[in-house]
Amino acid sequence: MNLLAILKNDLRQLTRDIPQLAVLFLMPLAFILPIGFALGGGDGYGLRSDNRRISLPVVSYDSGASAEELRASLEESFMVENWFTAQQIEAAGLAADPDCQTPGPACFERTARRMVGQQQRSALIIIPADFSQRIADGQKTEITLVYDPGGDSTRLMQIEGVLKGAAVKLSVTHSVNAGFDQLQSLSAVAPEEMQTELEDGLNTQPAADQQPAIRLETVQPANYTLKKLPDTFQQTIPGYTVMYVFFLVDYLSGAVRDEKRNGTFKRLLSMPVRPASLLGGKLLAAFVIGMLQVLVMFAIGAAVFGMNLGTQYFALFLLTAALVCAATAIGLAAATVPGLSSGLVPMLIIAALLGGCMFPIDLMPPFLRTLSHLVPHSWALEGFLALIVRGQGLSAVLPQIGVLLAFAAGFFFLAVRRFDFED
Amino acid sequence: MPTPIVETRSLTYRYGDFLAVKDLSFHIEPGEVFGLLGPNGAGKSTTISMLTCLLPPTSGSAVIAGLDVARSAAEVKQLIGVVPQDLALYPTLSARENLRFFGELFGLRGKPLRDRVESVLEYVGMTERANDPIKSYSGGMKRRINLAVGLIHSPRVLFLDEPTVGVDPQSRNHIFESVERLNREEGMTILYTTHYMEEAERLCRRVAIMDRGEIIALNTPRELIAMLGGGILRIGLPQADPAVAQAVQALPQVRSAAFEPDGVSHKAVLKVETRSANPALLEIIQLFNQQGLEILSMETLEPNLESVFLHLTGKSLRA
Repeated sequence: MNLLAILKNDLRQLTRDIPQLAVLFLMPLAFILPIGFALGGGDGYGLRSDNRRISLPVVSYDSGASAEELRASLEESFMVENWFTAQQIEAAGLAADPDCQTPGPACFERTARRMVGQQQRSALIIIPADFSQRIADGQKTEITLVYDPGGDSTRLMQIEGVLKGAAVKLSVTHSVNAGFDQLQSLSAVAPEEMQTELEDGLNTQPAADQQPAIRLETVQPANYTLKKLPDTFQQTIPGYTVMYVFFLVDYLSGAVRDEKRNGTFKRLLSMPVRPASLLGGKLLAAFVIGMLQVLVMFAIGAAVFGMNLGTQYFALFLLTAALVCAATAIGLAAATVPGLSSGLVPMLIIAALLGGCMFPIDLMPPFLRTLSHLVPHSWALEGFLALIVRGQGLSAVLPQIGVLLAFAAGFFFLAVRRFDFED
Repeated sequence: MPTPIVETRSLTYRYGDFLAVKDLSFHIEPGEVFGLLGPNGAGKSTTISMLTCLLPPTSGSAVIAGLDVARSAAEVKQLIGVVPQDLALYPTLSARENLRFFGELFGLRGKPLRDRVESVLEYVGMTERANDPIKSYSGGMKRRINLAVGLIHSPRVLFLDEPTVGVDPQSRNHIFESVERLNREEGMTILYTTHYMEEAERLCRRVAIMDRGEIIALNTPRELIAMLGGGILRIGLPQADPAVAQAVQALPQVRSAAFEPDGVSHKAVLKVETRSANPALLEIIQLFNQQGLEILSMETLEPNLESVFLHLTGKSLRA
């Protein structure tokens, strides 16, 4: 019962502490509402279609004129890549691949396919070895477009459109040239009354819908897992919610420090209150506050911005509980570090920034993406995105829940070892 | 003699190498107001911390109502009320909310809790402001609520640790009256620590004087003051002449006379314990006139606990 009395007392105190209430509940809204209204519900962060010039790997096994002509056409619209650096090959995990032991198009293709599979490139184009020869011989040939089906559809349409245009131009040019050569040889031996008709034929452009000799083969990468990216609300609302849930660290460590400074901690310990109840009551209060934060933010996100929360409510609850456990345990540990109070908020902001709470992790360079795993924020956010954006179930977020609970257990162990009721 | 409700035997507490409380042995009878008097750092608060189960004694024992504080802490805590030196309250909550919370921790619920809250508020004269947040109170009002929290569960023994520090005269008087009423009307046993001798003299039946972690005197205020006889005279002289001290000691109204060092001006100070201060003063002035001796200064210390402490330790209580 003492546990509940302490819980109630902490919650009552929070209701009287307007500045603290504002930090925990109004500050996240102060970010979410303006950003939400300003960027709207679409791809406000440009995750799905950025405006940067598109990098397009073009793997050519042919060094003939038509292959070069096709590459030149693509270069007018895209940043065509002809090779990857050793670092890029290594980053794709192919440094030890037999195809990459000697530089060549096979390694380039393997790397480009891997990058498309990892959503680092929207597509790649493969030009076969006999491409120029077959066109010259008037035979049909094909170009392969390997694309990311979860990527931005507009970008894919753009690549496909440019590629088809270049292919049509190339095949028509060769058809016309071949036909022109034939007509010229015919006109030399034709009767005089047919000369005008033949010259008219030579001056006539081929029909625009003429079947091209180059077929476009489109394929998805092997073992591809669709990774849907969040819209503005799906990024902003969970992001700032996670960020401010971790402000429980400041709240809880401050509450413990205040109790010690006021002498109430000591007074409580002279009463029939076990130290475990005292700490448990405070942790429980912080836990309830954290759960309320998530509930309020997500409810506002759904009600005001129509954010889709998915259907995995139980998984959402477990993930939230794991997140709040991590935040409260870190808060308790922070309370055991003397002189930390003034530096705590800047540290929380940096952790939130690194954890992808303020802008998407997908916009970060690879080394920062790796570093982001050091903070619990990124795990919580990744879990929320899996449930809300990709509609995945509990099993998909078990690793995130596990890591958050590991953070909670680690910091709780540290806090209990360091906690001193007497100081 | 009734069975003591509080009893310590060779109670000792050590902070690292520092011995904060040394071999403390005393007892308190049921219904007694017992004072612990001493300057800051004398060991009073450490003693209270051990008696209220906050610090485990390094050695020795303390028993409250037959229960050992180290072995039966949970039971002891139900019997005792603690009014700490700090204003241990939640400043954003009202007095009534603070009292309800602390009352719940002693298992009070519902109507008994509400009745007890109103009762202690009335006791400390804070009913009218009971719904205001603590942070809006004066220091004295906070002290009164601090006292009320200690009474919420009707304890058998109340520990008051310097309850009047930083208090306005009105609230100070209110606290005195509350302590007297609690003892008189409810027969509550009270251990009262202070470094204000007038508080100990007014409230306590017996007083233990502490210095450097030890009890250096323990008796009723009257008996302690009687140690000084009629009072003490401190006479500043140009030099410490033993013949002068002998001559003064030989006077009929003088019990003893000896020079004490004066660290500030390095003048000689003759400390004279008298049987009665005024006749002794006349005898000394006559003696000095007859012998043509010069008196640089003269200070009369009234016989009270302050001068007892000075007499016993050579330093002031408020030092």
